[in-house]
Order: sequence, then C-alpha cells, then structure tokens
Amino acid sequence: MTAAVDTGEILDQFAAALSAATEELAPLRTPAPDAATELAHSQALMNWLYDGGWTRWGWPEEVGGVGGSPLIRCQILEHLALAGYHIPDHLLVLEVVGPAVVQHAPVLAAEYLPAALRGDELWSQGFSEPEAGSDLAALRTKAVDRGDGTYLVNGQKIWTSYGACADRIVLLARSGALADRHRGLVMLLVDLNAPGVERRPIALASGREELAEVFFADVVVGADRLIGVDGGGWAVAMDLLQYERGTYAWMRMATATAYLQQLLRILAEGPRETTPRSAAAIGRTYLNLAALRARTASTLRQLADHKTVGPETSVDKLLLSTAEQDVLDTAMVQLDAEALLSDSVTAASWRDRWWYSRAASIYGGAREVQYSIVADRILKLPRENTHGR
Amino acid sequence: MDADTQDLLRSSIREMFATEEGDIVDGLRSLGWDDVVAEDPDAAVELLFTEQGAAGKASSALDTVAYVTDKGGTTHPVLHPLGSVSGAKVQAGCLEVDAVLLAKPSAAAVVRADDGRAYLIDENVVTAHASAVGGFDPASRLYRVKLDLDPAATVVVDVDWSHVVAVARRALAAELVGNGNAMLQLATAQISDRHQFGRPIGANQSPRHRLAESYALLGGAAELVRAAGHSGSDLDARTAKAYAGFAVDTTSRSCLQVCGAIGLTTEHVLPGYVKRARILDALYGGWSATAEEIGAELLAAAAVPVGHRL
Repeated sequence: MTAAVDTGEILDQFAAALSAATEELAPLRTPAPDAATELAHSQALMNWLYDGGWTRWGWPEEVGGVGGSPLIRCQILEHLALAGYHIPDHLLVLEVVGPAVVQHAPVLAAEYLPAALRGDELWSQGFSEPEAGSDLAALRTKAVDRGDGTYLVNGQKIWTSYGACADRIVLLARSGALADRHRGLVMLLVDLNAPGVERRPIALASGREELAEVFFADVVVGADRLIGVDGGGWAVAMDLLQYERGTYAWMRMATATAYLQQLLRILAEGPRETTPRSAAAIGRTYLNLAALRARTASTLRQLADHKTVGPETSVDKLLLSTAEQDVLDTAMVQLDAEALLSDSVTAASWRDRWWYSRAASIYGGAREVQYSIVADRILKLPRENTHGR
Repeated sequence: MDADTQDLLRSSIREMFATEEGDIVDGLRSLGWDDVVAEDPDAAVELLFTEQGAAGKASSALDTVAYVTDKGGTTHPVLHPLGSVSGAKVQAGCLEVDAVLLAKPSAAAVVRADDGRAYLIDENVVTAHASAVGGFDPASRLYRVKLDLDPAATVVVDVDWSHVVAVARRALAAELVGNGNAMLQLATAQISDRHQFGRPIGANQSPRHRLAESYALLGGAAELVRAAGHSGSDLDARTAKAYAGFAVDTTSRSCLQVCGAIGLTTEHVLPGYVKRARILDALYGGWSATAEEIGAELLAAAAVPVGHRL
C-alpha cells in the first residue's frame, strides 16, 4: 500500500459496511450451540472480512494483505466485537502465529498464509505438552533431521485450541537434546492431515470441545516447513508470544468489552433496579477493561513500530486475565439463577465464556509465571530458590 | 516536548523536590513552568505530578494547572473537594463549604457546589475560616476551609468545571502513579536486602508476587493517565484517577505488609507515601465511590463507552 492511509476514514467505512450487511450477517450474531457451529460461523465471517479487505490491513501484500498498520485491523476487530459479532476463532491463533511466520519464514508465509487469512484454512499452535506447560522449555516432542530434507516428528501436544479440526499446526519441537532446554528447539508448520497424526478432543468443564490432544507418530515434515532456523525455535516462540500479548490480548479485550456491553443490555431489559452492589461490580469491571485497553494499545503501537516489547508484556497478560475474569464473574453474579439453571443457548454460552475466562490466567504462561517474570526481570528481586516458599 | 527537554525538566524538578524545604511552586515559576504548561499541557502535567508523587511531597502545583478564570480574565484558586467532585453543598439557601486549599489562603477562591455552580468567595471570608490541616497527613500543607455562607455574599462565576476537574484528576492520577512506584521501589529495596530464615525476604514467592501485581496495576494506571491526556475526555480522566487510586491502594497494602513493623513507624519513609496517597485518592472523589458512580452510569446507559481511536 502506498502513502498514508486515513485510519479514521477506513474505520468509518468499515462501520458503514458492517451496518449495511446487518441482515446478511444476522445468523453470525446468534450464539453458536457447539464448537462446530462456532467454527462454521467463524469461517463465514473470515471470508466476509477478507473479501471486503478489512482483515487484510496490516499484513504485507506478499501474504495476501494490503499493507498499512496492524492497528487498523485491530480497531476493525474491536468494532466488530462491539457490534455483536464473535471475533472469528480462526484469528485467535492466526494473529499470534501469523506475524512470526511472516518474519521468520517469508517464503512459507507467502505460500500458506493467504488461505489462512481468508479463513479457508484453520491453523493451530502446538506448544504445550503433558510435561511442559508453563515450563515450556521442558517440551519433549522430537523433530529429528533425517538429512534428506525431512524431519521425523514424534510426540504429543496438549491444550491445542481447535486442534481437533485445524488444518495445520505451528509446532514447537525438540531437534536437540532435552538437556539443551530452550536451545535445541525447532519450529515447523505441520499439516494435520499428514499420516501419523492423531487427535483427541478434550471437553472443557462446560462441555465445549475446543481443545485437543494431538499425537505425532513418525510424521514426516519437509525442511521447507521450517519457521526460522533449526535450533532457533525458542526465539521464534518468544517473538510469537509478543503477539499473544499484543493483538491477541487486544481481541480478548474487545470480546470482554462486548460481553460487558451484552450484560448491560440484558440487565436494562430486566425488571431489576440498579443496586449499589451491581454498580460497584460493573464500575470495577469497566476500570479493569479500560486499563487493559490502554495498556494493550500501547503495546500494539510498539509492535507496529517493530520494537521488542520484552518482559513488560507480562503486565499486559496480568491485566488481561484480571479483566476477563472480572467481566465473567460479574456477569455470572448479575445473571444469577438464569445463568445457573437455564439450558438456553444464551445461558450456556455465558457459562462457556465463564469457564473460558478461567483459562486466561493459565494459558500462555500462568499468572504465577508472569509474576515471576516481573519480579525477576523488571523489579530484579532476589531469585526464588528451592527453599523459597 | 521532546525527550531531551523532558529529561532536563525532570531532573530539575527532582532536584527541586530534593532540596527545597518549602512549596516548590516558586521554584517552578522561575524555571519557566508556565511556558512549559502552555506549550504542552498534557506532557507537563504527567511529568511534574509523576515526579511530585515520586518525591512524596506536597505542593500547590495543582493550582498551576487546575484553576478558574473568570470573565474578566482574572484567575482564582479552587477550593478543592475531598471525597466528591464538589467542595460545597447548597442546602436551604445556605452554601455549606468544606474543601481544601493547597496553600495558606492569600486570595479569593472558587468552590464548586453540588448544584454545579461556581461560587467565588471573598479572601477575608476564606482566610477567616481556613485552618492548617493536621489530620492523617500533617505534611499535606493543606488548609481546610469550612464555612456556611449566604450564596448572595458570593459572586457566581461562569466556569467550565469539566475542564478544571479533568485536569485536576489527571494530575492527581499521575501523582498517584509516581507515589505508588516510589513505594514499590522502597519495598523492593528493603526485601532484597533484609534476610530472614537465611535468605532475603524478597526470595519468597508471596512478597514477590504481591509486588509484581502492584507493578502491573501501576503500569495500567500509567497508561490510563497517558490515554486521558490524549483524549482530554472527562470520563477518561475520571477512569484514570479511579484506577490509579485502586492501584496505589493495593500497592500501599502490599508494601506495608512486606516491609514489616519498621514500615509502620516514623523511622521509615514509607508511611509518608501512604499518608499522601490517601489524600490524593480522596481529592475529587475516592476510587471506590468513583467506580460505583461509573458503574451506575453504565447501567443507566446500558452501554459501554466507546474507546477512543488509536
């Protein structure tokens, strides 16, 4: 894209286009009863957003984008959420892994990202393992370079979002020795329909099957699927986590704000009067969301300027889980018996959201890990040792 | 204001707080502070008040940014409210003032009443009813003005309160952030050095996590102060001040805990910051009450305010 673009103008155009499509997109605004329907909605919305050019902002032309700043895309997604749409599930992974693929594997990105950006493909992210959660560097899935231009992958990933139905996975595996910890890692883009891949959905406590276990048994992956260099997987992973604190956090913020908005509408339609208790809960929730938005906006700006954001993003992550859980806790209390007893799709979706919000302080490095990062690397407090309690 | 100018100003202000015994406003004036504010008010407010917070000292600097200008172009100090946005109530035809001045009264002052109007009160009246504040923070330099008055004995002036209040809240929020970060530094240094059970207190998980949580909240507050400066919106200023109050409340509690008994004594500097923080939070409405007000407004509007564009 050439010259300067007027972000305000684009956002106005998007608002107009979305409002013109209100009827066409109406089915996508209803809560999905299950994960499969939700993914179908997600794909339809991905197609619409891509074909209109909206989600192409901020991606380079080589991968199907139209250039410009990713801040435009982020604000489009925020508007989308506040207009009552579920931000496409496809984007939750793509916005995290996409920029790292563009940066570390431009050729691969040009070949495979366009289909993912349009929503024709669903990508997932394979990091966590049964014995490597917050301690990611302990991962054991092996990728052995066979010297013939292929890797042989063996191992198991867990907690993989959309793992049961995704088309591809951005996989972090070990090409060196386990004792090398974060030094012997490799990042690969792996097809999930490859021979040797098995998957098992995991039902969250709400019953929702969004997560999965993915098993790899002698899966052959071409060396042309390398993201970054062999041995440099950790650097790619760390680069990628910045986007989890940037764009991903922004999308979660937008979604949580939309939830608060929905809650306010439901309460306004109900018979209950405003009590000081509900006002206090709503007010605190809003404050936490506002802080998250301001913080995340600042991180997005730094990422857009190609600055390394580093350990400071642990703050974003902490503010995110607090805000998200606050919104859903407030919603569950305010919706009261209906949220607990009803089997309506709406009530079920609030429960799904509540369970999902519990994960916000676990995935991507648990809350406690974020505290440790801040304590060690920012406050420079004495390290916790084996005697620390 | 470019980064070099900011650094220069910051070190001058820091120096002033470190060396001057009295109110630093005179020093600020000779530094050309009014020009700085005129040139880039948002950056000036954030910089000065963050430093004031870090120094843990009181001054009448707030009067240099939050004041009232009448139709004739004369400026007047504000009788700042505690625990509310209004420093006076109009009841049964009587103006009941209970507010504070940041320095010994030396001029007529304006108070915002709960009817939204601005009453200019004569210097003699203000002086006669002003007393130096001891209270929770004897270092606050505040003067409490408490009086009942016939509104007819005042002059009603036309004031854009939303601007005055928004600037005051941004300044107070910035000062809270500076104050909170100073407390955090003190506590971090202390628990890094002090050993118990054969290891530094700061090597234990619980104090580490408490301080990290405080750091995160203060980080959020600092961003809200900046965002409120950019947008200039009343709600953003209110949000920034309330969130900063909440962040500093948490920080104060954590720091007092991890510093142990010495942190509760006159031998430690921490209590000075704790006292100051409570005054700052109360000015123009405490965080808890403000959060409830904002919540009630959201419930009434059945909508979340739209965030400003980036």
